[in-house]
Amino acid sequence: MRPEIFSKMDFSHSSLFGYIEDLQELTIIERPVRRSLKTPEEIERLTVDEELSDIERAVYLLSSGQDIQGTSVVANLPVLMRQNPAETLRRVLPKIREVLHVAGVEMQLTAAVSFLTVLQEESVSIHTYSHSFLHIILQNLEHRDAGVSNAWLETLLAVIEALPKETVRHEILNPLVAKAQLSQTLQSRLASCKIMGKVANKFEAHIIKREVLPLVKSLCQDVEYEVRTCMCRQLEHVARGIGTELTKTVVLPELVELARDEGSSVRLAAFETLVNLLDMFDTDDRSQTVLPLVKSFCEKSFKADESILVSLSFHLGKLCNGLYGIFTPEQHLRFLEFYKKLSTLGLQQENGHNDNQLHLQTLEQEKKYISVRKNCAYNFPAMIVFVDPKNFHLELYSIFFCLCHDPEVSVRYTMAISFFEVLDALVGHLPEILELMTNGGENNGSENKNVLPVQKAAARTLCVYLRYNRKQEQRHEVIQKLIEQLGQGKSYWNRLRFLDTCEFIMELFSKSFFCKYFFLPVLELTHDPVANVRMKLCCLLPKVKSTLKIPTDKHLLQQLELCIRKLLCQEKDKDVLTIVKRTVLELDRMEISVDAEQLEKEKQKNEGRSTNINEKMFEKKRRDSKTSSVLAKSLNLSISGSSSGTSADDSFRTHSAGNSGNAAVPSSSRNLFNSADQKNNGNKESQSRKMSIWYIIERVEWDKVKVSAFDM
Amino acid sequence: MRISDIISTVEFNHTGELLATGDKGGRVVIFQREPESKNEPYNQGEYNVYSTFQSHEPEFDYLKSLEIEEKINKIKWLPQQNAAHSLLSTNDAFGPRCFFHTLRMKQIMGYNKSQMWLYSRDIVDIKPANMEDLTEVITASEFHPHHCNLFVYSSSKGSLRLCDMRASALCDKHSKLYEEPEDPSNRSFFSEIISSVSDVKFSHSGRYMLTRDYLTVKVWDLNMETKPVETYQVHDYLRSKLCSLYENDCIFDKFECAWNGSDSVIMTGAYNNFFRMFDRNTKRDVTLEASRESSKPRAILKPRRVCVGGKRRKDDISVDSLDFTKKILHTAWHPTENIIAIAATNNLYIFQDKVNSEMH
Repeated sequence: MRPEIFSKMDFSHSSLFGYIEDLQELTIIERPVRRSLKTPEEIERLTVDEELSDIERAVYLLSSGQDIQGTSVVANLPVLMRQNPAETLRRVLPKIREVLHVAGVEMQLTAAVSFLTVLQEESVSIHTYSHSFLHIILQNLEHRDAGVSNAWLETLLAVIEALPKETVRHEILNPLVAKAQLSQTLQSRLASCKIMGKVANKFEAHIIKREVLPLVKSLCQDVEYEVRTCMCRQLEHVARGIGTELTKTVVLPELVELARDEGSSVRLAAFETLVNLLDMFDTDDRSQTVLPLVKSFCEKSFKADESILVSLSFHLGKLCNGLYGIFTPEQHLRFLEFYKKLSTLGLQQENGHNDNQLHLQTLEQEKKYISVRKNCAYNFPAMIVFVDPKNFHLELYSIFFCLCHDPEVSVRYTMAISFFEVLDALVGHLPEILELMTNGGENNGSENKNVLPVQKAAARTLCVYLRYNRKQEQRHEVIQKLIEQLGQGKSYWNRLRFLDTCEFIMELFSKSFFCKYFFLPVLELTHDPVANVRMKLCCLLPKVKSTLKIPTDKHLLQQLELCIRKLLCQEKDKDVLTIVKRTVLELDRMEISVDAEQLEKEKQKNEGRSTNINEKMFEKKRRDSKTSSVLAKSLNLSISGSSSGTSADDSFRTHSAGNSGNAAVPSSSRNLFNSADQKNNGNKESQSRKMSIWYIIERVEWDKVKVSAFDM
Repeated sequence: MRISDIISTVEFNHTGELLATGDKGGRVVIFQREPESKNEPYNQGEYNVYSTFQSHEPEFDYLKSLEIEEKINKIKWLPQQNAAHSLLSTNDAFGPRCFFHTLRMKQIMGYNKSQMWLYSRDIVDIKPANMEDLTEVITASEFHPHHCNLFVYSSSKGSLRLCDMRASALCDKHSKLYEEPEDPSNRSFFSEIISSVSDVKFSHSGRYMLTRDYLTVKVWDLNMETKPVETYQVHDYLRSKLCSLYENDCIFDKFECAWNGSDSVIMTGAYNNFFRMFDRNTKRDVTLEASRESSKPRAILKPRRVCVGGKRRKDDISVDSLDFTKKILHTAWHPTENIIAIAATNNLYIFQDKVNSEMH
């Protein structure tokens, strides 16, 4: 169904929508709106007797409705179960069971999800559930469509979790043991693996030993590598279910066997499972069995089997820490070297000796190397623990640096995300981080350019850490250190970083926090002997000013204005002075936030006094400006900055009147937003910037807009 | 006026060069800003129709045996990747299945370089068998402008929940809950209804969130969950009229809200074709009117005032004479300039700040 098409197409350039008169000249053809997309007959066929109850309707639709209606009933099953479980079980479920025999893929999938929902919502007891639903699930598990049988398997695995162990044994385990033979299809053997992983923690040791483990073993030795891989990955769950004793005698030998498998995916699965199970093995096993396996695995990875590098790099952190303590110092060093090698894998330095290799590096290979480095970044916090935080600087700083400067964004990103953990691992060494942050510039004179982003990132992390640190003492210590070591640091570099840090503070903390701790230390830098610092300070001033609230921070505002005046009077550096002047203009254009509540309080306090503080302030400034003769013109600019204070005062009167009952009805005759009022300042520019007189540029009557023939 | 002509959404694109509107008839109309012309200085800034098309047609939902309205609920512009502009528009049919019981959210994914759009609606059109189950519905949602893993959604109970998709792909648990404790002295039968959040918008800076409920707009700092940092009264004089507003269903109107380009001014609609602006720094506010009479092209808008009680000055309008059928629900602010688009039932008004235009 298409809307009617209009003949005139050139309206986009005419002033069609500017004036109503023009519009009326046009022929407007209405778009006929069709209210319904179905013919009455179609609707008739989809219509169901209104008198039917939900249950009756469900049964009716399942028996004689269209497919889509049946599916909707199945999707609605959890709701029916909630409303009327008894009737649903008695009348609807048997129907669903019947229909599922011949149902299409969509209904099967819907049913698998609905059954799972019924379980999760606990609308019936688990006993009733296993009685009524479990058989249907098991029946459909063998569906010829892999998608469908997988969906049912997912549902079954969730059900196993909730079922009592006797039911699992009789309904699931026994039939499985009976039929998990080679004669079964590949699909069903794969399903058996997953079920084994799930049931392993359900039973006592003797049942597992007698019934589960033989089947697990036979699946580990299946002829198909897919089955071996799948079972191997489930061994972790099996091991956790059966405890350390049986793991040592049964699972470990299987794993060792699988680690030598001919299929690489099986070997990879075995390696990953070994790493994940490290905590289940005793020291002997770890040093006698696991370590040699892992070592040879790592060695091979570079020589023969690069495909496992990604997984290896991902698990390296876990591996190193899992085997911590059994490494000889030499092995310890070797694994650390291995990590370092992976951290720079594929980078130019690494392949520098062989230019051809670099060119031959395929896109796919490059992608793999990037994932490896990304995994190294992910494992960085674990490696700090591995080398012991106190050796961080010596052992890992260079890699830390490399990863932070990796050419690939995703690697640096991962690094940034793990910064928290890095900080966590190094938390006992907070002063050293600060030290590193503050000294980085001096130590690495030649690398200044590269150090900056890291220092900035470190500063930001420190601020985040500060924000979530609730210990007042530590908070104060960090704030104090930031001010003393950075803000009042000997090197101009540190003082510049202090200003960076203050930007982060403003971004992460409340305005009042910044004002309380950092406002004045920032202003201190007005006197800085280095021009670059003063220049950066000037650039920051507008942000600094925006943290102020009037009247709460009026003394800070005075300080700020004092500083600006000093800069204007005393600045000798030509470049800084240019920036100062520009900043002054910008500051002047800014409006200061008004703290309405605070104003109200002060007003009540000052009731009866003839002048209020803001007016006094303004008066005082005017006197100041008159007495000062240096740079009179520029000063004038800075004074006009105070006009915002005055206008705040003005709006204060307006607003407080509004507050007393009807905010929308200001008692002042002055139009809000429309400061045509000139009594307080004569500066035309500063006036007009506050004005907000709106006028219409367009009005379009909607019923005159036509639907065109454009197709998207 | 026909129902299908009521404008149901207004949205500028990322540059402000284009403006898209949708209506209850399923139409999308796109306006393009005319380039500045030296010969006709007045002509700059005008928006002319660029394209119109039928985005949605009425449909039939088989599962619910329901007709689905073609009304456009929301339009979102996709970031421009090449010469072509693209947008997403939705009607009620999105996510046609009905759920109740808990909060529901629906998501539109724009497969456009990891850009995602979040879309939600409340589910008042489907009555659960047991209305007791329906305790809270999602009313609005939005992604963070800078961090694609964060999004916020608001609820009918007045709270905001911030979710981090890095924590889990299924966001049934929030990372942060923004909620203001209820003032017991203000409690009434209508408390819950009027505290329902009808719109939520992130500021351009990403630091604040703006919410609209029936009587107020609030600014929340992402870093503070306990209370909003600013609260502005939109039309507090209606507090005594809630009973009649409930009777005529107006109390369920969903007003939207908008930030200006620098996050210093916020705007939202009201009744009688009024809309309100609040300056966050100076705390000044203004009421303006989008009306046929007062707005010939180039006409300057006069601030309007609603008076309560006795003292009534010239040009003031009394609360009792407000027209509640004329409401401004949808507004949009140009991303960088002081140009606003206001939908007043079947009229679209585009206003410009005089100062802004003079500076050109």
